[in-house]
Amino acid sequence: MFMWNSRCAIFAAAVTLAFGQEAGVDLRGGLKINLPKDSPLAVASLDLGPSKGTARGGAVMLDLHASLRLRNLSGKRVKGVTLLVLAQDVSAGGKGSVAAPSLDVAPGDDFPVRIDLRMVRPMSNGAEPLVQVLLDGVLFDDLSFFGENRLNSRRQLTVWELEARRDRKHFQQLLEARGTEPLRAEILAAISRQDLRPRVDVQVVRQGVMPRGANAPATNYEMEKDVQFSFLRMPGAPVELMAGAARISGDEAKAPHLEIRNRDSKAIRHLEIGLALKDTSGQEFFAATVPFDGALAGKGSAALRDSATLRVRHTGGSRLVLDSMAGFVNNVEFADGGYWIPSRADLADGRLGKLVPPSPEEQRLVQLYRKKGLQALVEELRK
Amino acid sequence: MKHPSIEKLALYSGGELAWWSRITMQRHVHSCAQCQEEVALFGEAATAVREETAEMPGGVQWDRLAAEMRANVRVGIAASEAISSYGSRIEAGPAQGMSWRMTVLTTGFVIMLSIGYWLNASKKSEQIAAMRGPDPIVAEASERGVGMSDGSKGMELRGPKTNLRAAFVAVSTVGSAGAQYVDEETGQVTVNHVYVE
Repeated sequence: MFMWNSRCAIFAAAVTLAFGQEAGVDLRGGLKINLPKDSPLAVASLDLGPSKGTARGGAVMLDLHASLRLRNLSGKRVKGVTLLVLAQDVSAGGKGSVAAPSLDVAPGDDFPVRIDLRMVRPMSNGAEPLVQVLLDGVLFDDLSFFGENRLNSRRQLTVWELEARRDRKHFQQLLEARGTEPLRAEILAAISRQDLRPRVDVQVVRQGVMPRGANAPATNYEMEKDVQFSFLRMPGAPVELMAGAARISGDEAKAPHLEIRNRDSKAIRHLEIGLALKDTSGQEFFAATVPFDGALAGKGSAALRDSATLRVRHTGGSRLVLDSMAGFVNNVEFADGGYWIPSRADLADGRLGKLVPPSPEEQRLVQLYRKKGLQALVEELRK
Repeated sequence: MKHPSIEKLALYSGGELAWWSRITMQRHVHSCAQCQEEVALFGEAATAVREETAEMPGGVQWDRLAAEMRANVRVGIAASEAISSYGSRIEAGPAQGMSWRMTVLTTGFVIMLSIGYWLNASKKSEQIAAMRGPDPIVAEASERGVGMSDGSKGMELRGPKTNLRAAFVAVSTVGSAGAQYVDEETGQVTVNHVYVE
């Protein structure tokens, strides 16, 4: 035992010395913000605050806290922005994005966007910036769009804006028709839905085997079963889910496949199916989306097959065991550029209301009520 | 003045010395400014490591790295124990009439065997790694943030300091992970995503 302890101590000392050989990295030039020349937004200010970079051996560990203020140079109100965050040497060309939906920025006004990034990457020769931030897209109040759209920001920002208009209108109508107390009750119900939502962490691997989790059971073998989806139907949805299944094993759901049918006569360009998972304790939560990209003709059918593996665990790390799955149509983009999103009436269904995530606008209005009270919310809705 | 070795100072700093060695060492360190400084440096370095490891980013497969490290240490210990136990039998040998040439020859043979075993073990682990293929890139959405990692490199987009807990997280089967944050002061919503390509 003593020998082993001695070896451990010597190893620890070696590790200590190795870790001791670290050096700060100069962050000037480490972050580059590239906006196109004809961009409707300009950088009004950039504050790197407590950001730090540390070199360890051949790697750089970067802790970036950028507080960016963007100015609306266009003549229209900005409703949403997506910034593309690129760190080329990280994870085989992977990228990130920071989006600010549910905005209402008048021409000439500024608005903040925060980028809080942490990464480990090989040391570069210093010629290239550690992180590049590009403008992927800006959505305006007339639903026009500017940007490269590499991340399909146009679709996502438009869906968020349509959801914002739906929810804002819902609360405004409630206020006008029934007064402040029913509005308060509706906001309290939204708070309750948000607070009661089970808190889970989700992982996804597109292809291949999910690395073994830290809290995986001691044995390798876990019973795998094929589980048929149940469907949460929305009367107004233009797409019907006909059948679906996935393989479930412990905390993992693998290879979901779905059969869908277009009930509308218009062709569909893109749609998104929401997946809700239920664990053996009966808790049900929204965890993932399955997108469909491609042409789905009017009244046509299609099958979605995916090789992805999902893993879900309770926030904090405790393991859960999946039992069943349910699917619902989250949003649809038609080939003619039109969109469908669930109506408030669709979401009034108790189960769907609990599962479908609240829109950014509902979250914003709820936070306004939490922070400043009912009167501030009423003033906001009457703007 | 004769100073103790750096290893012994490291062990003393970590409280790993046996009680009798510790007492001797303590007496020396109390009277030697140079060794006091060394011990203090070891203490600071150990604290720094503890702080740094507490800040290590999520997603890196520490368990696997630790398992590989443990396996390598065990192979090394097994090899050295094999050599030393063989050596002790050899020491008993001359009483039975083994010549020193035979002892050297046998020791050399054992060392060659050990090196062969070591190399073979390394090759096997390389073969297993090759069969397993590259680690898949995992995208993760948690309350703390969204990130992706292939086990050695990774990036993580975290929530703003005003609200570190995501209001909502989800992944997409095309390999992206997203988290929504609401600024407690302004109510502004920020949505972070990572996309695996």
